[in-house]
Amino acid sequence: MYVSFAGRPTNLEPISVKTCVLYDPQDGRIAHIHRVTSLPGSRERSRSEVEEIAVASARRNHVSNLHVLHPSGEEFNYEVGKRYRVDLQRMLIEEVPDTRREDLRGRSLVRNDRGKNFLLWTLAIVALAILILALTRC
Amino acid sequence: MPMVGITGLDIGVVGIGTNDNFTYAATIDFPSSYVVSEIAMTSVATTDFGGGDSSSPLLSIDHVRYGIQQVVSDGIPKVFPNGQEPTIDGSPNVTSVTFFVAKNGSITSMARAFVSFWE
Repeated sequence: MYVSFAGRPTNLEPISVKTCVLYDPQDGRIAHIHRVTSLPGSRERSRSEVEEIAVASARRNHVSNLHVLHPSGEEFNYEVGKRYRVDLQRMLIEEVPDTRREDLRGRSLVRNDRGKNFLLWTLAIVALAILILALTRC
Repeated sequence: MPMVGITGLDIGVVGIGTNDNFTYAATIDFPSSYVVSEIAMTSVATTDFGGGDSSSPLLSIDHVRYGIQQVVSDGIPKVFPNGQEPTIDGSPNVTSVTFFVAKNGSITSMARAFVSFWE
Protein backbone atom coordinates (compact mmCIF):
# COMPACT_ATOMS: atom_id res chain seq x y z
CA MET A 1 0.00 0.00 0.00
CA TYR A 2 1.16 3.49 -0.59
CA VAL A 3 -0.49 6.73 0.35
CA SER A 4 -0.52 9.53 -2.16
CA PHE A 5 -1.97 12.98 -1.91
CA ALA A 6 -3.52 15.35 -4.35
CA GLY A 7 -5.20 18.70 -4.04
CA ARG A 8 -4.02 21.70 -2.02
CA PRO A 9 -2.52 22.02 0.45
CA THR A 10 -0.71 18.71 0.46
CA ASN A 11 0.12 18.62 4.14
CA LEU A 12 -1.41 15.25 4.79
CA GLU A 13 1.79 13.32 5.36
CA PRO A 14 0.84 10.55 7.80
CA ILE A 15 2.23 10.76 11.31
CA SER A 16 2.38 7.01 11.52
CA VAL A 17 1.73 3.87 9.50
CA LYS A 18 1.46 0.68 11.53
CA THR A 19 1.04 -2.83 10.18
CA CYS A 20 -0.19 -5.96 11.90
CA VAL A 21 0.11 -9.36 10.24
CA LEU A 22 -1.93 -12.37 11.37
CA TYR A 23 -0.47 -15.71 10.36
CA ASP A 24 -1.02 -19.41 10.82
CA PRO A 25 1.49 -20.69 13.43
CA GLN A 26 1.58 -24.11 11.73
CA ASP A 27 3.04 -23.02 8.41
CA GLY A 28 3.54 -19.24 8.48
CA ARG A 29 0.74 -18.65 5.99
CA ILE A 30 -0.45 -15.03 6.18
CA ALA A 31 -4.21 -14.79 6.60
CA HIS A 32 -4.75 -11.13 7.30
CA ILE A 33 -2.87 -7.86 7.06
CA HIS A 34 -4.15 -4.70 8.66
CA ARG A 35 -2.46 -1.38 8.05
CA VAL A 36 -3.42 1.74 9.99
CA THR A 37 -2.51 5.18 8.66
CA SER A 38 -2.86 8.15 11.02
CA LEU A 39 -3.03 11.65 9.59
CA PRO A 40 -1.82 14.74 11.50
CA GLY A 41 -4.31 15.79 14.14
CA SER A 42 -5.60 12.30 14.74
CA ARG A 43 -4.61 10.21 17.71
CA GLU A 44 -1.78 7.86 16.91
CA ARG A 45 -2.77 4.27 17.64
CA SER A 46 -0.68 2.06 19.88
CA ARG A 47 0.60 -1.31 18.74
CA SER A 48 -1.92 -3.12 20.92
CA GLU A 49 -4.78 -1.07 19.48
CA VAL A 50 -3.69 -1.92 15.94
CA GLU A 51 -3.49 -5.58 16.95
CA GLU A 52 -6.95 -5.41 18.48
CA ILE A 53 -8.57 -4.00 15.34
CA ALA A 54 -6.64 -6.45 13.15
CA VAL A 55 -7.91 -9.42 15.17
CA ALA A 56 -11.47 -8.04 15.17
CA SER A 57 -11.27 -7.47 11.43
CA ALA A 58 -10.00 -11.01 10.84
CA ARG A 59 -12.75 -12.46 13.04
CA ARG A 60 -15.30 -10.56 11.00
CA ASN A 61 -13.97 -12.46 8.01
CA HIS A 62 -14.25 -15.76 9.91
CA VAL A 63 -10.53 -16.12 10.47
CA SER A 64 -9.29 -17.18 13.91
CA ASN A 65 -6.53 -19.15 15.71
CA LEU A 66 -3.85 -16.95 14.25
CA HIS A 67 -0.67 -15.48 15.69
CA VAL A 68 0.35 -11.84 15.48
CA LEU A 69 3.41 -10.16 14.01
CA HIS A 70 4.14 -6.42 13.96
CA PRO A 71 6.57 -5.78 11.12
CA SER A 72 8.00 -2.32 10.71
CA GLY A 73 7.60 -0.53 7.40
CA GLU A 74 11.19 -1.29 6.50
CA GLU A 75 10.69 -4.98 7.19
CA PHE A 76 7.55 -5.35 5.14
CA ASN A 77 7.06 -3.12 2.15
CA TYR A 78 5.35 -5.74 0.11
CA GLU A 79 4.85 -5.57 -3.60
CA VAL A 80 1.52 -6.45 -5.11
CA GLY A 81 1.81 -9.64 -7.11
CA LYS A 82 4.41 -11.25 -4.88
CA ARG A 83 3.66 -13.87 -2.27
CA TYR A 84 4.78 -13.78 1.32
CA ARG A 85 4.70 -15.86 4.45
CA VAL A 86 6.13 -15.66 7.96
CA ASP A 87 9.42 -17.45 8.50
CA LEU A 88 8.62 -19.19 11.78
CA GLN A 89 12.28 -19.58 12.77
CA ARG A 90 13.34 -15.98 12.31
CA MET A 91 9.87 -14.45 12.80
CA LEU A 92 10.32 -12.36 9.68
CA ILE A 93 8.21 -12.02 6.57
CA GLU A 94 9.77 -13.64 3.54
CA GLU A 95 8.86 -13.83 -0.11
CA VAL A 96 7.60 -17.19 -1.33
CA PRO A 97 8.62 -18.34 -4.80
CA ASP A 98 5.63 -18.88 -7.04
CA THR A 99 5.26 -22.61 -7.62
CA ARG A 100 1.73 -22.54 -8.94
CA ARG A 101 1.12 -24.61 -12.04
CA GLU A 102 -2.15 -23.07 -13.14
CA ASP A 103 -3.39 -19.54 -13.68
CA LEU A 104 -6.78 -18.10 -12.76
CA ARG A 105 -8.59 -19.90 -15.55
CA GLY A 106 -6.96 -23.22 -14.77
CA ARG A 107 -4.52 -22.96 -17.71
CA SER A 108 -1.19 -24.59 -17.15
CA LEU A 109 1.68 -22.22 -16.41
CA VAL A 110 4.17 -24.94 -17.29
CA ARG A 111 5.29 -24.44 -20.85
CA ASN A 112 3.90 -27.19 -23.04
CA ASP A 113 5.84 -27.42 -26.31
CA ARG A 114 4.34 -30.68 -27.59
CA GLY A 115 1.67 -28.99 -29.72
CA LYS A 116 4.14 -26.44 -31.05
CA ASN A 117 6.67 -29.14 -31.98
CA PHE A 118 4.01 -31.17 -33.80
CA LEU A 119 3.07 -28.14 -35.90
CA LEU A 120 6.69 -27.39 -36.76
CA TRP A 121 7.37 -30.99 -37.82
CA THR A 122 4.22 -31.05 -39.96
CA LEU A 123 5.25 -27.80 -41.69
CA ALA A 124 8.77 -29.13 -42.26
CA ILE A 125 7.46 -32.36 -43.82
CA VAL A 126 5.05 -30.47 -46.08
CA ALA A 127 7.84 -28.08 -47.17
CA LEU A 128 10.12 -31.02 -47.87
CA ALA A 129 7.41 -32.76 -49.89
CA ILE A 130 6.84 -29.61 -51.96
CA LEU A 131 10.58 -29.28 -52.54
CA ILE A 132 10.90 -32.92 -53.67
CA LEU A 133 7.87 -32.52 -55.95
CA ALA A 134 9.33 -29.36 -57.47
CA LEU A 135 12.71 -31.03 -58.04
CA THR A 136 11.19 -34.14 -59.68
CA ARG A 137 9.25 -31.93 -62.10
CA CYS A 138 12.38 -30.08 -63.11
CA MET B 1 -14.77 25.49 2.46
CA PRO B 2 -11.28 24.73 1.13
CA MET B 3 -10.37 21.21 0.26
CA VAL B 4 -7.74 19.86 2.62
CA GLY B 5 -6.68 17.06 0.38
CA ILE B 6 -7.46 13.70 -1.04
CA THR B 7 -5.81 10.61 0.25
CA GLY B 8 -5.52 7.75 -2.13
CA LEU B 9 -4.71 4.38 -0.65
CA ASP B 10 -3.75 1.64 -3.03
CA ILE B 11 -4.82 -1.57 -1.43
CA GLY B 12 -3.24 -4.59 -2.93
CA VAL B 13 -4.21 -8.11 -2.11
CA VAL B 14 -1.01 -10.11 -2.04
CA GLY B 15 -1.19 -13.64 -3.32
CA ILE B 16 -0.16 -15.74 -0.36
CA GLY B 17 -0.82 -19.19 -1.69
CA THR B 18 -2.95 -21.06 -4.12
CA ASN B 19 -6.54 -21.24 -3.01
CA ASP B 20 -5.79 -19.47 0.24
CA ASN B 21 -8.30 -17.20 1.81
CA PHE B 22 -6.74 -13.88 2.56
CA THR B 23 -7.96 -10.53 3.79
CA TYR B 24 -6.37 -7.12 3.79
CA ALA B 25 -7.69 -4.11 5.62
CA ALA B 26 -6.53 -0.51 5.66
CA THR B 27 -7.67 1.98 8.24
CA ILE B 28 -7.19 5.71 7.88
CA ASP B 29 -7.57 7.95 10.93
CA PHE B 30 -7.97 11.70 10.58
CA PRO B 31 -8.90 14.62 12.85
CA SER B 32 -12.52 15.42 13.62
CA SER B 33 -12.03 18.90 12.10
CA TYR B 34 -11.97 17.30 8.67
CA VAL B 35 -15.27 16.85 6.92
CA VAL B 36 -15.38 13.84 4.69
CA SER B 37 -16.55 14.82 1.25
CA GLU B 38 -16.30 11.41 -0.31
CA ILE B 39 -15.35 7.84 0.46
CA ALA B 40 -15.00 5.47 -2.41
CA MET B 41 -13.36 2.28 -3.40
CA THR B 42 -12.74 1.25 -6.97
CA SER B 43 -11.02 -1.58 -8.73
CA VAL B 44 -7.69 -0.90 -10.35
CA ALA B 45 -6.46 -4.18 -11.75
CA THR B 46 -6.46 -7.86 -11.29
CA THR B 47 -3.41 -9.81 -12.23
CA ASP B 48 -2.69 -13.48 -12.35
CA PHE B 49 0.86 -14.54 -11.74
CA GLY B 50 1.21 -16.50 -14.93
CA GLY B 51 0.64 -13.73 -17.43
CA GLY B 52 -2.46 -13.64 -19.57
CA ASP B 53 -5.14 -11.07 -19.04
CA SER B 54 -3.95 -8.53 -16.52
CA SER B 55 -6.63 -5.95 -17.07
CA SER B 56 -9.74 -7.79 -15.95
CA PRO B 57 -11.92 -5.53 -13.89
CA LEU B 58 -11.96 -6.53 -10.26
CA LEU B 59 -15.71 -6.71 -10.11
CA SER B 60 -15.86 -9.46 -12.68
CA ILE B 61 -13.80 -11.79 -10.53
CA ASP B 62 -15.86 -13.89 -8.20
CA HIS B 63 -12.96 -14.60 -5.88
CA VAL B 64 -12.60 -11.06 -4.60
CA ARG B 65 -14.87 -8.87 -2.58
CA TYR B 66 -14.00 -5.46 -1.36
CA GLY B 67 -15.62 -2.50 0.26
CA ILE B 68 -15.82 -0.28 3.29
CA GLN B 69 -15.74 -2.34 6.44
CA GLN B 70 -16.11 0.20 9.19
CA VAL B 71 -16.68 3.91 9.73
CA VAL B 72 -16.17 5.61 13.09
CA SER B 73 -18.59 8.49 13.52
CA ASP B 74 -18.96 10.43 16.78
CA GLY B 75 -16.59 7.89 18.30
CA ILE B 76 -18.97 5.05 17.52
CA PRO B 77 -17.82 2.36 15.10
CA LYS B 78 -20.35 1.33 12.49
CA VAL B 79 -19.66 -1.95 10.73
CA PHE B 80 -20.73 -2.64 7.18
CA PRO B 81 -20.44 -6.41 6.93
CA ASN B 82 -21.69 -6.72 3.39
CA GLY B 83 -19.39 -4.12 1.94
CA GLN B 84 -22.12 -1.66 1.08
CA GLU B 85 -20.96 1.92 0.62
CA PRO B 86 -22.14 4.08 3.51
CA THR B 87 -23.63 7.47 2.76
CA ILE B 88 -21.55 9.76 4.92
CA ASP B 89 -20.75 12.50 2.42
CA GLY B 90 -20.49 15.81 4.20
CA SER B 91 -20.61 14.23 7.64
CA PRO B 92 -18.53 16.29 10.07
CA ASN B 93 -18.10 13.60 12.70
CA VAL B 94 -16.32 10.82 10.89
CA THR B 95 -12.78 10.21 12.16
CA SER B 96 -11.85 6.81 10.80
CA VAL B 97 -12.59 4.66 7.78
CA THR B 98 -11.54 1.04 7.28
CA PHE B 99 -11.46 -0.55 3.83
CA PHE B 100 -11.02 -4.21 3.12
CA VAL B 101 -10.22 -6.56 0.30
CA ALA B 102 -10.80 -10.28 0.66
CA LYS B 103 -9.78 -12.98 -1.74
CA ASN B 104 -10.51 -16.64 -2.03
CA GLY B 105 -8.29 -18.26 -4.55
CA SER B 106 -5.03 -17.83 -6.35
CA ILE B 107 -5.47 -14.28 -7.40
CA THR B 108 -3.77 -10.95 -6.95
CA SER B 109 -5.80 -7.84 -7.20
CA MET B 110 -5.69 -4.19 -6.40
CA ALA B 111 -8.33 -1.80 -5.31
CA ARG B 112 -7.92 1.89 -4.70
CA ALA B 113 -9.61 3.51 -1.74
CA PHE B 114 -10.20 7.23 -1.53
CA VAL B 115 -11.15 9.57 1.24
CA SER B 116 -11.36 13.26 0.46
CA PHE B 117 -11.70 15.89 3.15
CA TRP B 118 -12.86 19.46 3.58
CA GLU B 119 -11.91 21.68 6.49
